[in-house]
Amino acid sequence: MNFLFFEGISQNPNSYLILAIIIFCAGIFTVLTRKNIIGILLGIELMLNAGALNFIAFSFFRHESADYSGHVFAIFVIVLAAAEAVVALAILLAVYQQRRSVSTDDISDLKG
Amino acid sequence: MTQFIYMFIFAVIYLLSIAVAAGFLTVVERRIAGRMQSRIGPNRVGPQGIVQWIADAVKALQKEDIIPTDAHSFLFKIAPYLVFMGVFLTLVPIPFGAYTLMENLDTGIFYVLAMASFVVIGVMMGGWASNNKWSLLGGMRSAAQMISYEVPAALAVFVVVVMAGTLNFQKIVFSQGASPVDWYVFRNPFAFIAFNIFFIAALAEGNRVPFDIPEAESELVSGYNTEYSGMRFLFFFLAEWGNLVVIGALVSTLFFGGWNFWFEYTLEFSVPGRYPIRFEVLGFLWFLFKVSIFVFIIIWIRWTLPRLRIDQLMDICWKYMVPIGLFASIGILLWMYFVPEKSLADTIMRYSMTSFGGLTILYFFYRVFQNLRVTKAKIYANPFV
Amino acid sequence: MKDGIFLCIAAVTVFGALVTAFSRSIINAALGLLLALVAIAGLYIFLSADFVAVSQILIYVGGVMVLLLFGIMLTSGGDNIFSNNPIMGAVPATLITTIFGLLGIYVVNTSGLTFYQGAYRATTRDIGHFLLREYILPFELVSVLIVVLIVGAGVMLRKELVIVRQAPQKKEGKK
Repeated sequence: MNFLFFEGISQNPNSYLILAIIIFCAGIFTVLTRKNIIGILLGIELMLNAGALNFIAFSFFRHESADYSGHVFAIFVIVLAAAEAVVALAILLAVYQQRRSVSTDDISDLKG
Repeated sequence: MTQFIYMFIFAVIYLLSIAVAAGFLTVVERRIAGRMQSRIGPNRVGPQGIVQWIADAVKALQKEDIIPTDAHSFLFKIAPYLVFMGVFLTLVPIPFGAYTLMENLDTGIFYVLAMASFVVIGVMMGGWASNNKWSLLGGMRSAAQMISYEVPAALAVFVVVVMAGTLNFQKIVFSQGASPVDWYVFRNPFAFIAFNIFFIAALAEGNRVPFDIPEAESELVSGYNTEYSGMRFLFFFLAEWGNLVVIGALVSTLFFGGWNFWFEYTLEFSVPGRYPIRFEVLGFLWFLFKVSIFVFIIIWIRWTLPRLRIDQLMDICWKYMVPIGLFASIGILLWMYFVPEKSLADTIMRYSMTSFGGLTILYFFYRVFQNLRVTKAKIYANPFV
Repeated sequence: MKDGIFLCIAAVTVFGALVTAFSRSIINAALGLLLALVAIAGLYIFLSADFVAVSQILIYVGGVMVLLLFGIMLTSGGDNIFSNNPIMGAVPATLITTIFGLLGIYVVNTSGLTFYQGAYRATTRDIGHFLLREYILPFELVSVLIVVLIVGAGVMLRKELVIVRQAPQKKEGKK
């Protein structure tokens, strides 16, 4: 872990990758520990962002010539995250209108 | 390192000038409102009341900074700053002259649209954190309204971006000219539609009358800023009047030629040393003139039109402005494809639209003076009372 | 100087992510996410991705965060705003997270990829070219997706579909 201390940390790909891992782990922890649906959604957004950060980092450090596939993928990730948030919130509001609750414990009708 | 110091100094200068401009605009607005309602308005502090805003600021600073007991205090404190930050950050890429700009961002107009979203977040937070039903309603309405009106604004901006082929503000300004024939408003009918849509959407995003539903005094006490007092309240106001400058600057940059003056701006001027300072100053003043005309129009609208209802507001956005914006953005693509620049049809369209616009303004003044003659109204043309 | 700014932004990102992960108040978690998203936009600028950074702010801050805050404000009525996002099962979650983290660090350390020194370029125009040449099919599919999304969200919130049951009383004993 000595990469943190040498010069040019902002030009080192590993620092971005490690950062993405930290964000991703925070996202996983959030998803695993929450009962509140919105809390879970927040974790998913974090994980998606970690992925997008990786795409951009690889696009920057892996190509000598201009190749923007990574940027395009990051844009797709962002757009799909927004789409997912819209659908999730629409479902959430519909559930909340019926159940008056957003906890995953109260939405267990399909559990055997 | 010196670069960062310069950036810091410029940021402070911009901050001060936007604060002064916003403060000055409050006085101007009150004076104009006074004249429109057949009264005088503030004219006691300083000559013609032009330093009234300093007195107001001092008064607001002296007030007690109240945070309601059940408010979420951190959010309550941070919301005004977020709103102000959103407005202030939009000023970064707007060119006030060939070199009078903070940073010539490559993503210019896109960046401005993005930064406006901080305002939404700030207003929502302020409304929610106040723990007050009216504030919450105001914040919610404001968020719904701003998000909805970002769609037609983006569609209108799309038209300009297609015409200029870039998101960069300086290139958009360069690709227009100084005379009205070269402005984007009068290039073709679709750009004219886009201008109208953008102007209305910008009014709505800035929470100005007739779209000031988030702070409708007669329904919600004062909307999202009901519980605020003192300096924090002042920050909301700075943001609101700073937004006037931003709207005016955006409209005149995108559609009205920006700082272009009747000089030859060739590529050799892109070297800073070879650029005559008088060109810069003239361009800056010309730009300020355009901005102040739009600011005046916005103030004029505010004191003329009544407020919309919330359902009417959403209807206007989704049932009229978005379809018209889509029509304009598809139309501009066809226009750019079939009518190349500098062709005969393009020239005819430019000149006819410019003369149409000029004639409309002339007709407006004709009607005003005719009405004054007919009603034999006694007018005080002198604004200094 | 550049490294210092990078470290500050990285610290803000990590702080925001940790607030999202460990806060017991859903509104604080959302604010942490907001902080993390803005800071990640800053990181994109370090990676010469200004267009993506601005898109990130436009879509996440202006769209997703506003929606999430809307959701929070509409659904958290009556709850205690400081404890409506409890952490359950922290021990297994920590284990799984640690496994993922170690796996990630292992992959980073042993990837064997060759990295070049990244170059700063203007990206907007080239991203446009990529979107409309190489990635035209996904680009169009995204527009189809968004149409489906609008229709779906509209259908989901239609009046007739929502069967308004008797609102059940909140169970007191159950957490």
